[in-house]
Amino acid sequence: MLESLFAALSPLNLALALCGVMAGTIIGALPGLSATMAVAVLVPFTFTMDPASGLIALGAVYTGAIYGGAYAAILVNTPGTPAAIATAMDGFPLAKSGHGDLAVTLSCLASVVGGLVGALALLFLAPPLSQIALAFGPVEYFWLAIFGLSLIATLSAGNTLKGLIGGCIGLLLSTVGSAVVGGDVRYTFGQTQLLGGIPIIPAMIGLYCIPVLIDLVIRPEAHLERRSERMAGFRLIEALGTVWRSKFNLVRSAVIGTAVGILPAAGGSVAGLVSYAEAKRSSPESERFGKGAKDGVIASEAANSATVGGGFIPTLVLGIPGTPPDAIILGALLVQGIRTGPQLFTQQGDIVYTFVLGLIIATLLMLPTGLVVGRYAFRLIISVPKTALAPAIALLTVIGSYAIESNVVHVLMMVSLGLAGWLLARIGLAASPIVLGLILGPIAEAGFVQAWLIGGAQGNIPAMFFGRPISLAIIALILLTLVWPLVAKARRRRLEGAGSDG
Amino acid sequence: MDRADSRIADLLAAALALGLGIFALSRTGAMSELGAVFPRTAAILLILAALGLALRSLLRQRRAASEGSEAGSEETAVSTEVLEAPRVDRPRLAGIAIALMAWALLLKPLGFLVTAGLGLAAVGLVTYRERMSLTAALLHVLAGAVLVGGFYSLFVWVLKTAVP
Repeated sequence: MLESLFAALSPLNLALALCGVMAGTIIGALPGLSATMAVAVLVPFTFTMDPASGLIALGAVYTGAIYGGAYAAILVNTPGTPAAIATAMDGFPLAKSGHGDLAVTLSCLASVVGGLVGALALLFLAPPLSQIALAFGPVEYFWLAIFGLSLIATLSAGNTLKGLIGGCIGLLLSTVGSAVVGGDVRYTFGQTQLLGGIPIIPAMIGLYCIPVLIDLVIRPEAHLERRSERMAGFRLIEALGTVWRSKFNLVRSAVIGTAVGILPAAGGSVAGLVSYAEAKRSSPESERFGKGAKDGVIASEAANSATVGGGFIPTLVLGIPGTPPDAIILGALLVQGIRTGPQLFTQQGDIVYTFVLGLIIATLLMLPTGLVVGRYAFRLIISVPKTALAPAIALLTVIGSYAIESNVVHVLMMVSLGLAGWLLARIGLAASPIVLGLILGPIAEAGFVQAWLIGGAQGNIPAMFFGRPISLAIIALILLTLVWPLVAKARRRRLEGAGSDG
Repeated sequence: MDRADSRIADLLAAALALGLGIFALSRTGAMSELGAVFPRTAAILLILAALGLALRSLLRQRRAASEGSEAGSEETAVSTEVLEAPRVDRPRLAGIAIALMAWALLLKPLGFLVTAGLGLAAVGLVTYRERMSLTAALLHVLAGAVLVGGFYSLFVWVLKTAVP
């Protein structure tokens, strides 16, 4: 551990953490440019770094981008990232009433605490969980992949069927090329470029970044308006006092954020909204929420930043991404030749611990960066016109998809998938279920086929799939995930019915 | 998205998913049993989800129609308005799609520097709406040159990546 700490504190890693947090904060502060996009466009720069440094840079970008989203949410009522949706609910009213500077400082402090709780959970929970994960066989990985897909179907903005359709499209995309087991050539239409399958990172850059770019170009309105008041200062002492008074809310929100991050596919926006709702429910001043409650800003920011560390737990332990940016980082790890999974902590523990400690350092760096650099960066970026921003994003997407394997075909795939992604989004098919299907597809297929073969050799395929205790526990979780929204809906209706009768 | 708009989107999504599912399923016949089992399952799930979405959309439409003629006429008006509203800037949409596709296709024959310069100019032109002063235009060109030159130097000399 001590060696990892020294490695994390090396001048290169410190510089990468600092630059990553700054770059993430700037990208995250721009409305429409999410943390996923920030990680996606910057991922190719890490391929020539050693794995730990690359991971620290990406973790820092992710951490900074989640926090950066708060700037636009508070100052112009436009969440910079989806994770900051709940921040805007009280952050903007605070800014309108002349407390924008306080709200930004509060969001920075809450983000640092939330980020630290998530990172510490990663440091202390991931190793024991990896020991449990060692007992996982192909069938458990299959069910875990299905669990991930069932979660995204449930979380698809109240439209489970569309989430399921997106997930299935992703699964089918993952089968393009040579089969994981057996070597069948599938859906290539005779194109040799498709034999290797759909490359994950260009696909993700396309699906997440190109729709954002198109919307930026085709919408006449400015990407950012100056609407709020000027910021006077940090009001750090006042903010520290407020955070101390709200310590239970802060810790509870950070724990909620960590837990939501651990769930496959649930990201900062879900965490922010859940913790905001919980903060409102338990607050003695719940009527102030939505009108400028400081507790609302603290809850949202602590939770969304905690998802960073929480999301890395399933990503590193199981190879199943906790949040969309984790999916991209997972792809980057595969390119680096690192196989995620329970053995990662024993076989490449030095890399993992250096990364986790680097993430903690990046989170701590967010305090000065967020307070000082973020403010100047925000003033700078609101002056960047769309005519400069859109071409820069286009260049980054092209470079990002090309640089991974120096392959021009990947750029073409990225653009094609991006255009398709924009069209699909117009009819309500979001990118996240497709991406998750694309990532979980090979895990699910390899697990399914291997379990099928082992079960066949043992002469009892059903027992292989449904007869192991860990599998049964995961199946129970899947059923709970799928049935719970229906139960909750029925209960709500019954309560409403009882209320109207009374 | 209002109810009528959402129903059209649902039906389009269902039709697309159904078509994709049937196509994917039809191609599994040429695969080995082991290679076909996963895409076949995914395709069947896709078809079932598409049918479920279409059915739900049609049931909602029927329910909305039975809510009364007044509500129905209101909805027809809304749906016409939605269809007529110029919500997508089609020339710009076509412009950005063509610019990006051309960028990807010409990357190899023209090389990184030329396509990046042309691509930046094309995307900038498609995004351009308000009059720009000569100084602002020159600043855009300078920023573009710095960006392209910076990335080219980074890839070629620092990261040692081969660029076309």
